[in-house]
Amino acid sequence: MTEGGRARLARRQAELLSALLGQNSDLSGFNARQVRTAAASLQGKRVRAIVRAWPRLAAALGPDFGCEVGRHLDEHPSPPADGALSDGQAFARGLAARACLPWEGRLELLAVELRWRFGEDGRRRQRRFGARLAVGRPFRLAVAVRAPGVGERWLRLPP
Amino acid sequence: MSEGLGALGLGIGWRPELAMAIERRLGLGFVELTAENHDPDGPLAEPVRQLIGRGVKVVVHGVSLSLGGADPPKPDRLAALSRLAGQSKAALVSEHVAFVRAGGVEAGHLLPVPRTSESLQILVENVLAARGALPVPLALENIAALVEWPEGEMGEAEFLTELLERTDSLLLLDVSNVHANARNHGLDPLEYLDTLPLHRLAYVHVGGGVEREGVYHDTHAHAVDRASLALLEALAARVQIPGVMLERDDDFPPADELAAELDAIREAVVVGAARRHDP
Repeated sequence: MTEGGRARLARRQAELLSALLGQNSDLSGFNARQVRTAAASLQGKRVRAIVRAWPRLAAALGPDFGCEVGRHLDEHPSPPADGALSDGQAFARGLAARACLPWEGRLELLAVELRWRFGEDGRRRQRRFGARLAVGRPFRLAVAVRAPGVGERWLRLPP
Repeated sequence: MSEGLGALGLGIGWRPELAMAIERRLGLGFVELTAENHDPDGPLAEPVRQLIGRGVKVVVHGVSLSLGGADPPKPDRLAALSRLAGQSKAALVSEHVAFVRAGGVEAGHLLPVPRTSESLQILVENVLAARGALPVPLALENIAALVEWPEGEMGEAEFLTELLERTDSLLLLDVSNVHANARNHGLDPLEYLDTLPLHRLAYVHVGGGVEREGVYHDTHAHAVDRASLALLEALAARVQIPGVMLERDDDFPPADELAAELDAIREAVVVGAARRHDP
């Protein structure tokens, strides 16, 4: 195939994808209702995948989850290449930056970052070694380490 | 081997949430591992190793190659599929006729490709590149698409058939996706089956879905619907099905409900196969 063919396909696919992610309202030729349905489906699948990968965070946010995850999607219209674990990590970090991350979510973030590293190739890999600390107010503390032969060890105060 | 089924038999998509139910379910011929959920440098999950030790076969399934995209498949993604296939002694790798990223942006899900001769040619080249890098045969799966390209030059079954013939690939037929597209885009599902080169069939997916506001959504979070089972039966009446598996990705049901879904799938194959033998 000539590069022209690949470039044409790339352009058309990028146009469709940006419309599905709410970034392009000028998509020609497509059935607008189908595009709206597909866009809503993509967003719904993304949110459900975050809930599945981050159950403690979703539960801790409770009724605020919908509004907060909506804000995350607005700020990051395209999901990351490495899936819902990484998507939820960005969500949790965004909440932490606004001091809106509940303690249970903080612990889940700590657990995920202790165990996983996210590669530039869009794949996650297990860490062999790791150490993480979280402190909350009113005073709460969690320390976790991970090492071969030891597994994961946690200290939480209050226990 | 289950009655009416070929070498793979009855299977299920392996998920950590289902590991216990899968381990206890006797008579499973195979599990499908989604490559993106496995550490590309790490060992196989212990429950999967145990299944392999018991003689359960493995098929490796990819969701992020973007074979229908404008770029050739990435070598590191192909290497990860190859490594997992080697680790799990998989006889087969499968992927979708879809694109999942464009312009450096991820979709997070499978999207349809335009059914033009130009995009078919690109797809053929991408599939041949993937096949050349994989240690085992590649099976290609039809997807459920909520949106249709305006520049379609051929029908979905015709497009898929051309692709399979020109790349000499196997077919992973998702009967629930056939139902979804038939329901949403007004196709005749039986005509679809009759157009496909069924001698290329490697295995079959069945998954649950739900209808909302007149649109069928292939969710893998609901029970398998009757229409998908009827299509599976119609398929079994046309060809021996080498393997068939349930896909469940969300709202995981208790083990007995899961077992009942697997039983219903096997039953549909048995009934269809009987029609094939004794029309």
